[in-house]
Amino acid sequence: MKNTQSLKDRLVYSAVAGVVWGLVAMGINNMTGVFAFESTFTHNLVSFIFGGVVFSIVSGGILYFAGSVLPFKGYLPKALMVTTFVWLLLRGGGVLLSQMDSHRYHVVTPESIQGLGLAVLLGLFLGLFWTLGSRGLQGSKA
Amino acid sequence: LLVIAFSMVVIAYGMEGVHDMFHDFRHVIGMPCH
Repeated sequence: MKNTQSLKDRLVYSAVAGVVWGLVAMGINNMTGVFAFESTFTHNLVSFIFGGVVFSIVSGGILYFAGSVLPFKGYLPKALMVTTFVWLLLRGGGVLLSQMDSHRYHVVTPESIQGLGLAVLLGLFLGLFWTLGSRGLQGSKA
Repeated sequence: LLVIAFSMVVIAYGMEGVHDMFHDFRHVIGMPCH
């Protein structure tokens, strides 16, 4: 699988996936009640969309540059692998920080389980938007 | 991408105005937080 589209195009698809993911993550947490929101709905709307875009763009960038060496075919499984890897990497850093300052960074297991699930969900959205983006551009060039 | 990657780390760990901005987001995605 070769990246025939520019990095710029890919990052745009990733940003769109991030917006959707941020909103869905907010909705899922609202349903699960794993974390009781402390900020207002409007505040969270902004922070979840912005946070979603940031995480998704970074994952999309890794997918763009490392996609050809990942042991899968198709954007979806590769995106799943990348987003899970990014989450585990950040979570690993969090564990180290937690050991250094357990008051400042303490671990909550239900939140971690939800977070891993959301990372997988981001992979689904990212893979889906990359696939749809590729087909859309191919269709417009035909 | 490099700037955004740095932002991601700041957001994930609350490396403090950004700290309060993303407090709920950090909890929801399962990052360690106070």
